[in-house]
Order: sequence, then C-alpha cells, then structure tokens
Amino acid sequence: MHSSEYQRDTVEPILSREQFVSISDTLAALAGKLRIEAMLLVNSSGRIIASNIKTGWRGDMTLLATLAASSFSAANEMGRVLGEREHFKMILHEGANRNIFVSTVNSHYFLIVVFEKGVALGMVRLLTKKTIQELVPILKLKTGEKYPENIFDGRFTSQLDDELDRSLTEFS
Amino acid sequence: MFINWMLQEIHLKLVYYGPGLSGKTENMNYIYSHIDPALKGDLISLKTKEDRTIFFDFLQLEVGAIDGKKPKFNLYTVPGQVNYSLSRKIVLNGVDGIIFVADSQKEMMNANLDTLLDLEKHLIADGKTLEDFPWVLQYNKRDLPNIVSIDEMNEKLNLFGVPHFPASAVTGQGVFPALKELIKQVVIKTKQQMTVQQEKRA
Repeated sequence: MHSSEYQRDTVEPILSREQFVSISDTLAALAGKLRIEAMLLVNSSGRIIASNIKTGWRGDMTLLATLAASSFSAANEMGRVLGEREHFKMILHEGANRNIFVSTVNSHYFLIVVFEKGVALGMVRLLTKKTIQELVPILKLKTGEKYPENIFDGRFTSQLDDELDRSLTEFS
Repeated sequence: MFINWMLQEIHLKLVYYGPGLSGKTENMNYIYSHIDPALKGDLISLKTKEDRTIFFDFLQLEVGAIDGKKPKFNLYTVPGQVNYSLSRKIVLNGVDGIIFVADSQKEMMNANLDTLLDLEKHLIADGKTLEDFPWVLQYNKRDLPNIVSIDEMNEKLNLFGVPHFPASAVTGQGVFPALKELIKQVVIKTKQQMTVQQEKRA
C-alpha cells in the first residue's frame, strides 16, 4: 500500500495471525538473548502490535507505548525543524536504573526496548538492529486476510450503542 | 482505527481539540473522575509548572466485549496555545475522531475559529478534511455569563452540520453525550470505509 493511501485510510493495514505469530516469535528470540524488561512493537500512533514482557514486570504498557510514540514523533519533528530529511533511527532515554531504547522499524512501526542499567547498550543496539531486519519483511508480507465483513454490522453497532449507554455515564 | 485481530481488540484514537483554556483537559478530568473505575486506565498529563497542557493528556477507556471484541478508546487532548501547533500535529497522528471543544464566551469566538482553521490545516496535510472526517462540536462553558447563543455558535463554527452539544465540563453537562456521539460517528465512518475497501478487493 502506498504511504499516502495508508494515511488516508481509517483502518490501518491488516496484519494476519501468521504475521502476529512471526512477530511474537522474533521478539521472543531477542528476549532470549538479552536481559530485557519489556519490548513492544508499536505503530506510529502508539498502539501496541506485539509485546514481550519479563515475568513480574509491572509497568503500564499502554502508557509506555503512548508516551514513546509521542516522544519519537517529537524527535522527528525536531529533526525536521533542523532540516533532517529522514526520520531519526533511534532515541535513548537513560534512567538511574533502566534505559529505554526506541528504534524505527519502518515508517509505520517502531520498537521499544526497556532494559536494566547493567545491560550493555552496544549489545542492545546490535541485537535490536538484527531483530528489526527480521521484522521488516514480516511486516511487509501480503496477508491475504480480509476484514470480516460483518464486524460493524447492525447487530454489532446496536450492541455497541447499548454498551456505550451503559458504560459512558456517571458511575454510582 | 486499529484492529488487533489476534487479541480481538478495536482501538479508537479520539482527540479533544480546541483553543487554550476552552476546557479540553477539564473534559478528561470529568470523565476520569466519574466513570466506572473498572473501565479506565491511568490519566497522564504532560503539563507545564503552571498547569497548562504542554503536549497532551491521555486516558484509555474500555467497555465490555461485543461479540468477543473489546473496544478500547484512547482519549487525548492537545495543547491549545497558539505556539504549540506542532505538538497538536503530532497528537493528531492516527486520529479517528475529534471533539472540538469551543469556548462559549463572547471574547473567545475568534480563538475558536482560528483553532478550527488550525485543525483543518493539519487534517488537510494528512489527506483528510473537516467535511468528511468524524467530529462533533462541544460548546463548553455554558454555565458562565457573557456567552454566545447556540444559534450563533452554530452559524460561526458548525460549517458542516456536525452534532453539537451545549456543555459545561466542570459540571459534566454534555461531556459523556459528546463522547458517545463521536464514537458512533467514527463507527459509521469506518463501516463505510470497510465497505468501500471490500468492494475494491472484490
């Protein structure tokens, strides 16, 4: 799909179950090589596509993905202000106990890796780069999967209306 | 809209847009304070020391599963101040629907219009237009004196006859109704788009 066409679509390109499985396997392989706390494949608007989380990790993935997406977009806008022609490939946030490494996968997706301070940054960069090289062709695959025709049929929208009336209201 | 078929989740990104101090964050605060706690995530606010939004506020809501699919609504605000246009552009990335929070006070009408034009500029840059994009108008601060009539606000701001809601984000008037209507509008629009895509594939 051409990128301008992508932007005009309300619904993002569909990823098949096979793609999700391949993506999850690829993230798991990286998690097996590095002491990672969390790893998220996120789209450019901050929605989580796939994740691999260390057992017991208690961070909020949704908030992390949202903030990282915004931070990455802000970095790219800074680059544009400075005259950079291409998006930044990576950004690093260094903390007292852990770091966050965010790298571009392609124009629609990026990878967030949260790791402890003791893990060598060079190793994270090297292995993340290799993982991204594996993710790119997976994300490019033509899926052949079609939208379920009735996902927003009359029954669904009627039930959604009921659910919205029930949920989006004053809680007592 | 993002649909995670693996997890059977439907994600919508909904943005509160409007001039500075029109009540965008107040909408979010009201929802956060009054909705069933089981349906909400944490509310995060990226703001200045003076309590003004510098980037965005964010809140995720979810409602019960429908036919096994879980709708999740990601609510954002934008910073309203004029010089944060680039921040607004970033927040609009991937937006599915907009609640335009207009300030009903007479002296704010120019700011409302300027911000609406700013919104249209960003939408056009992303290949969208106000005419065919799901959005609703919320006429906020109806509890204050010195306000413009609803008819006049419609005449000046409601260029495409979108649903509009008299509101007071402080008291909660028009907060949930505007959000519900926006979600319905997004679903209608997405349904139309899916039909077109299916016809193209057929």
